[in-house]
This record gives sequence, C-alpha cells and structure tokens, in this order.
Amino acid sequence: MSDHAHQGSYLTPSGGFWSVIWDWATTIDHKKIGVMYLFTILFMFFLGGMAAIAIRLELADPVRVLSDGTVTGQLFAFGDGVGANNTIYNRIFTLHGAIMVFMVIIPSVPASLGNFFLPIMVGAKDVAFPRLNLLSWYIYVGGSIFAVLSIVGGGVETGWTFYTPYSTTTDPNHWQVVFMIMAVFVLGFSSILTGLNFIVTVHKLRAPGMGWFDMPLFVWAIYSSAIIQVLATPVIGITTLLLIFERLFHVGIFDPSMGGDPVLFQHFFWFYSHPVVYIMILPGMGIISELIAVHSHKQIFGYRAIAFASLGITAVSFLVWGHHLFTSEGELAAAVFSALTFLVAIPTAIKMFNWIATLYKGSIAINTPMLYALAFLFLFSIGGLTGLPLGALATDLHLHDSYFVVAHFHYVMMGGAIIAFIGGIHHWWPKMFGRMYNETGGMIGCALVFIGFNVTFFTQFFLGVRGMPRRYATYVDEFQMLHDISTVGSWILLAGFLVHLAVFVHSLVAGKKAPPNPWGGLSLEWEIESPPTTHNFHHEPIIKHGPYDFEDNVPPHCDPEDFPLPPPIEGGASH
Amino acid sequence: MTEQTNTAFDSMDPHGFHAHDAHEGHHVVSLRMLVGVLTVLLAFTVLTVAASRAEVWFGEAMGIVIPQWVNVAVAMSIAVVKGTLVLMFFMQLYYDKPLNTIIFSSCLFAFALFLGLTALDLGSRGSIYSWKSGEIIAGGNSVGLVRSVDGIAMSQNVPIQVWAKEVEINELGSVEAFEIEAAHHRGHVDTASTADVSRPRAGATPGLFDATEPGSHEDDAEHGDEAEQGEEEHADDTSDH
Amino acid sequence: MTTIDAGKAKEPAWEHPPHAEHFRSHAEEFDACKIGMWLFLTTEVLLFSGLFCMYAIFRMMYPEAFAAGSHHLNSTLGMVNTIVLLLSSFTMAMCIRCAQLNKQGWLKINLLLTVAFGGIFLFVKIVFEYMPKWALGKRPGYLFEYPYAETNHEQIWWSVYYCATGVHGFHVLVGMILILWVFWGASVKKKYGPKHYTGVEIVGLYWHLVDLIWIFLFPLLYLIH
Repeated sequence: MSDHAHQGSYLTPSGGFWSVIWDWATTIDHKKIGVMYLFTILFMFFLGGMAAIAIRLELADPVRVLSDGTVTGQLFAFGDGVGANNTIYNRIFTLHGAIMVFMVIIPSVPASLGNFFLPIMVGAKDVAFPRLNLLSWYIYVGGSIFAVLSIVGGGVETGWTFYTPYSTTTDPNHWQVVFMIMAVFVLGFSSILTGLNFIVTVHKLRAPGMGWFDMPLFVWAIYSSAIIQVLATPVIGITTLLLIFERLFHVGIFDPSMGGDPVLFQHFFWFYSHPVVYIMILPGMGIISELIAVHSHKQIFGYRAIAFASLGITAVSFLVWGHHLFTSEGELAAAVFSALTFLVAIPTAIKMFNWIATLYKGSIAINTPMLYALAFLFLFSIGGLTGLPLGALATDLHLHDSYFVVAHFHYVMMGGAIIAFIGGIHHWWPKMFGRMYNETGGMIGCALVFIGFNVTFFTQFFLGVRGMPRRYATYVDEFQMLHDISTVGSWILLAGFLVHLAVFVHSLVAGKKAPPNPWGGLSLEWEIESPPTTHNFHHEPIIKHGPYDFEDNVPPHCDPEDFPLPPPIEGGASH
Repeated sequence: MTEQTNTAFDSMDPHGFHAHDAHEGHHVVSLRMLVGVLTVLLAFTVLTVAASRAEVWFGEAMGIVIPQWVNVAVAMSIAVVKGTLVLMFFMQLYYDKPLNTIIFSSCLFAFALFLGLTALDLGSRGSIYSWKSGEIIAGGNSVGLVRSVDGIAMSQNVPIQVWAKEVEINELGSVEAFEIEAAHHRGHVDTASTADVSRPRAGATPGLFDATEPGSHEDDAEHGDEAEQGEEEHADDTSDH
Repeated sequence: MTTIDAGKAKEPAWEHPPHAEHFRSHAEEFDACKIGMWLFLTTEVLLFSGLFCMYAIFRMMYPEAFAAGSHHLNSTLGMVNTIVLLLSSFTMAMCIRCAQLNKQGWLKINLLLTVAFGGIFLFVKIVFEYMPKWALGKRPGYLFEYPYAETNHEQIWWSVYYCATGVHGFHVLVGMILILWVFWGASVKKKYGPKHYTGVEIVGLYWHLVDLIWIFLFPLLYLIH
C-alpha cells in the first residue's frame, strides 16, 4: 500500500457534506462508531462537569444559596427561599451523578477506545456484530436524550441512586423522574449490546495464531468488563422497570404501607451498581497495562497474573453489593458482605504490584500517557485504600453517606477510570486521528488535572471524617475552609481539562502528522497506518511475537536506533 | 457426529466455500427424539399439576398434612427437569459447543448469588438484635430475655447499655447518685464543636449567622431574613439515607 | 451466473449463503451468532431473575398471602397454557429441523403453528385470567379492590403475579413478532435452507427461552400453596 497516509483511511470523507453525514450516521465501521462514542461521551462529560462546578460553587459558601441574586443565583433562580434552593441543589447533584455514571464512565473506555481498538488488537476487521454496534450507539444517544429532556424539564431530586421512597413518591412533577429512569433503562441496553459484541469478537474473531495469552491485556480487561456488562446490566433493567411500575401504578412492591420493602429496591439497585463500578475500572486498568508496558518499553510483569486477576475481579464483583447497604440492611447480611468486600482487594493489588514491577528497570518515557499512568497508580491506590474503612462494617457506620464516601468514589472513579481514559486517549490519539498532540500542553494539562483533583477531593476525606454529610447544600461554619479549598481545586481541575481540550483541538487542526508507531508499541494496532484504513489490515495479520516482547523485537515502523534491543545476556540466558 | 475441530478457520479454504461439504458439524435432531422429549415434557406437566392437587386432596380427604417444603421441592424438581430437557434438546445445548453451556451456567450462578444473598438479608432481619436484647414482640407486651440482678427483674427488651445503666442505678440507689458517679467516668464533655472535632447537636448552630469576621458576611444585615428562613428550613431537613 | 447457466432453475438463496465480510466463513458467522444469542439469553434470564427474586422475597415475608393468592389462580388454565407453550417449543424445534432438511413447506407451517400457539397462550392469559380477575378487583397494589381477601397482604401477591406474568407475556409477544419476521424471510425471500438457517436458529433460541421461563413461573405461581 502506498505511503499516502490518508489514502483510504477511515477518516477520508466520501463526498459532499450531506454524504459524509449519512456515511457516519449509517456506518458499521467500529472505528467510526468508536469516534462517535468518544465525542458524545466527552460532551456528556462536559455537561456533568458543569454540574460539578455548580455544586462546588454552591458549597463554597453555605449561606449563599443559589438564588440570592448573585451571579450563580441568576443562573439558577427558580424560586424563593431555602427550600426551593435545596431542591435545585438536589437536582444538580442528581444530574451530575446520573450523567457521570450512566452516560460517561460506564461507556467511556469500552465504547470508545474499546470499540476502536479491540478488533484491531485481536487482528479482526470489525467487531462480531457491526450493526448491533451502531444500534448500541443510537440507543446510547436515545437514552441520553431522555436524560437531557428530564434535566431540561427541571430535573430530578432523587439522587442518582433513585432510592425509594424518594423516587416513587416525591417530586410532584413526575414525568421528569420517569424520563430519567427510562433513560437509565435504555442506556442499559446500549451497555449490554457493547459487552455482547466484545465477548463474541474475542472468542471468534481472533487472527489465526493469536491465542488467549497472546492478546494485549487491554483486550483481557475489556473482555472481563464485558462479562460483567452482560450479567449485571439486565438487573438494573428490571429494577428501573419495576420502579416505573411502582411510580406509575403504585404496585406497592417498594412501599411499606402496601407490604413492600424499600430495602428490596436497594438490593436490586446495588446488585447492578456494584459490578458497574468494575465495568468502569477494569477497562481503565487495561489501558494502564498498555501505557506502562509501552512507555517503559518493558515486558509486562506477570501477564497471566494480570489477565486472571481481571477475571477474578469480575467474579468477586458480584459478591459484595451489600456494602452499599450497611446502614439499611440486616446485621447478619452486613457482616457477611463486609467480609466478602475485603476479597476484592486481592486481585486489584496483584495488578498494582505487577504494574510497579513493570516500571522497574524499564526505559521510562516521560510523556503525557506515562504521566497519566503514574497518576493512576497513585490516585487509584488512595481510592482503593480508603475503600477499606468503608468496607469494614464498624467504621462504615460512621462514614456512610459522608464526604468520605464522596472522596473515595471520586478517587477511584475519577482518579482511576477517568485518568486512565484520558491517558488512553493521549496514547492512542495519534493512531485514531493521524495527528500528534502537543506534548508540553498535554503534560501541563496532566499536571493541572492531577493537582486540581487532589486539592478538590483530598480535603473531602477530612470533611467526611469530621461529619459533613453528602448531598447537603449547606453546612456548619466549621467546614467552611475545607469546602473553600475544595472549590478552588475544582477550578484548577477545570483549567486542566480546558488545556486538554485546547491541545486536542489544536492537534486536529494543526497537529503534526503522526507516524504509524510513535511510541514503539508492539501490539497489532501499531503495525497499521495512523489513522487506519477502513479494513484495518491489508492482509490477515501474522502473529510473530507477544504484545509486550520488547526485549526481543524492534517495534514495527520504528528506527531500531530509537528503540534499541537490550544486549544479549552472557551465557545465553533469556531475559 | 463430531464437529470439526476448527470449523471456524481452514487456511486452505479461508472463506469457507467448501465447508458445507462436511455439513459444518450441525447436528440434525431426529424426529423421534423431538417427539420423545415433548412427550416427556407433557407428562411431567401433568404430573406436577397432579402432585400439587394430590397434596391438597391428601390434606382434605385423608387428613394427612404434607409439609410445605415437600410441595415446593416436588414442583421445583419437576420444573428443573423440564427446563433441563428444553435446554438440552430443544435448544440443543447437548449437541453444542461447551462455551454456550458455560455462558448459560454463569447466568444461573449470578442469579443464585442475587437471590441467595438478598434472601439472607431480608430473611434475617432482627435476628441479631433479638439475640442481643430479647425477643421483639409487636404491641409492646414483651416477654423477652429475663435479666435479673439480686433477684430484682430489670426492664425487658431494652438495649444492653440501658440495662446495664439500670442495674447500676439500682445498686447505687438513686438516679442522682448515678449521675454523680457517671461524671467521674465520662469526664468533662465539650458540647461545642471545635476545628478538629465536629459534635452533632440538635437545632441550629447558635450564633451561626451572628459572627462576623473581617471581610466576610458583609451583607449580613440584608441577609438577616433569608438567613432565619434558612435556619428553620435546615432544622426541618430530614436526613438523607 | 453466466449465460450458460441461464437455462437452469434459479438457485435458492441459501445455497451460497452470504456472510458478513469480517467473518472468515459462514460457519464462523453461525457460531458467532449463536454465542451472541446465548449471551443475550443470559441477559433475559437475569432480567427475569429480578422478578423471581421479588417473588421469593415476598413469599418469604408473606407466606399466607401467597398461599391464599395462588388459590385464586386456576391451575387447569395454567396447565393448558403450559402445554400450549411446550407444543410451541416443539414446533419451533421442528422449524430448525425442517430448515436443516430443506422442507420449506413444513418450515412455514411450523412457524405459523408456533405463532398460533403463542397467540393461544396470550388469549387464554388475557381473556380468561387477567380480565375476570381485574373485573373482580384482584389488582396490584394501590388498585386492589377485592372485598373477600383472606389475608392482609394480598395486594402484594397480585403485584408479583401481574408483574411477572406481564413481563413474560410481553416477551411472548415480542417472540411472536420475531417468528413472523422469520416467516416473512422464509416465504417471501426464501432465504432459509440447510446451509443457512441462522435466523431460524436465533429466533428459535429466544422462543425456547420464553417457554423455559414459563416452565418455572407456572409452578411457582400456580402450584405452590
């Protein structure tokens, strides 16, 4: 094939403006679908992020509520009195939670980077069911539209967890609640179809010669996460369906006055929503495996351990949902769940140690993806360790529904999943769009995000231990300073994301053309052009080496002087 | 019948144009087998209905009461057998690659976890509490755990701390004596929160809206009314579970 | 086809079945579709598992209400419905067999029989079970109006009954629509035959699952006192 990088690349427009729109709207190319997901998800991330900024603005000063005539008040002036403003605050944090959980983090890595790279990494031309893939994107958009309609109609006060009886009885304007619940129901199908596609692709469409243990760890992570998607998501489907029945027809299954049980709703909800956090983090961990191995140019330490740890996390994730219900469930069950919760730390820790061991004696490149990987190791460790006092029943009774929980889950979800996601976007940006991004800008953005994130959320651990409850719009004077620090941190975080946005826009408009293999990776995506052609490979890929065999192989399309092989060891011992 | 070991890919015939020559390993279930399975299924259906009616009849006509778990066990076992037949022969899991069976079993495993742990919780409510502090009976006519010290029965059905307090009050003779004694053990208690320790209290924070520090709350006078409204609202705010 | 072939009868569409380009062979596509369908079936089972769990929990909490409630259900009608669904499962399995043996006529007949059985199931359920009960006031939750209830929590029983059988009935309806789609493919486009019957297989698996769910729902609702 010629060296005209854009000839026949999947991004090459096929004709005039409307034909390009039609081409993208009806595409079954996994790469285009991945890119569409990426931009939709980043847009929803922006929306959820604006809600977060609003939350932090409100919390910067407990007396100043949202409609007292200040600038923030003008934006959200819906009524007089603090009662109305608590309502607005409830709606804003529900918006933030629902968008971030259901519309951003759950689809983030699998649907965008997973869709783009999983088929290429296993040597396939596309996913197993490309039309289902496109359908899943349309379902995602449809569900998001339901959510946006609900928000535009005034929003929902129930919190993203939709606990009964709030979600079944409060909010007299009830169509917004039903719409938001329907959004969750619809988005579940998108997740199921994506997961289903990935499982079948990994089983059936691997290139000949690519065994299970020749696949990059990103594929293992997406596969494990897809298993959870298929097994857990239908339960939120039935939960939201029953919630809609309860709300519209008052069938009474969650209403104690009719004999129903609100804790039953919590069990139903968290049976999905706990595994969902592993759907969020497993693909992120897969990205970290890639980033660390490639950017330290070293064989990953303990490939099989990491692969089986991913499956282990999948299995254990279904055992622990009751730890979200410690204060509302029976004590025997709480004790059982507390004991089970500690199990999940084991496979996670195995991975963390293996990544650190991979870095050891590696030739570490300092660039944005590597900085994000290092940030992940630090931030996710904090998030995981702070999960321990929450998993221990006794301490959780103090910390439940406090800011400690808020800080913990932001450390794992944002400091873990989103950090890994952004690192992955930077790592694969040259491959996806054929342009390099400005490395200095990327690193500045990473620094701002890292600093801003820690300033925002580290303080919240202290707030939580000292008793600040979550989802409260006001608080006592004693918490003022910590809240102010946290709000300033949120602005630094926003600045970091804006820097990234600027870097990406600049890259698309005026970035340097990207070589096929800027980082010296060995997995299959680095053997093809940047950006790839529509059919990915020109001929069936021949698997000659493992995805991390840096000691024995010069990366494709790379100058051997840039990535020299280590000298052979005396005596012929293997590395 | 055996499936080819690699029906998916034959390097001599990558597009599978000649694969159909070997019937691609698809098993055709014989008509006899299908009819046989159907007959068994119908028989079991009749059997399960008959069993449940027989149980009622035994109870009414002959006075033999069969315990409920027998009814459940019989009905569910027959259902499991019927379900397995449908899975294996109508859905052809028996003839299929084991991956599909593994996929279906994993969902049964997830279901079992869901049902098992939820039932563990919702079925064992109050079990530990009643062990600690006596039987809980609706309507307040407590029988409960009998606790007595020195021959004097203490209040039933109270948490153990309250019971211990009562024992001590009884020993010391009066509530006042108890309070004096307690002050020695509890030490001086600060009721106000400090910068390091947050102590919960009821009602509004005294002086919350009175304090003025340099540079902040400059417009307190204007906000006075709204602040008072805020106080009332905040006190009414039910906590979020 | 060249002009030499023009005189021969047109080959049926399934003789050289097309397969999507990213699959290496038709066999691979068939296997992949089957795995994909089994994954989808697991999601359906887990959807119903929520309903079964709800049933189990409320039965545990209110055994008398459930015992009394199930007396209101006519187990003969339930048995008839079960038999109807089992027969429909049989005819669906026969559809696969007919496609594999190129019995196009029987294929279409069995497809229509399956739809007919599904229709009978829904008819019996709606006309002989739902409507009389609703008229008497045996309704879920807040809508409950039955004056002769023997136990305190009967409305929960009815909620469980209507939710479980309602969601199942909806799946029966969806299954019937899918079978009619297959029928259209078989009769109008004539695309199913021994070398290509993926659509029949996939829809068949869905229909069998609908039957499987009812096999468990029937004793739990009708037969356990």
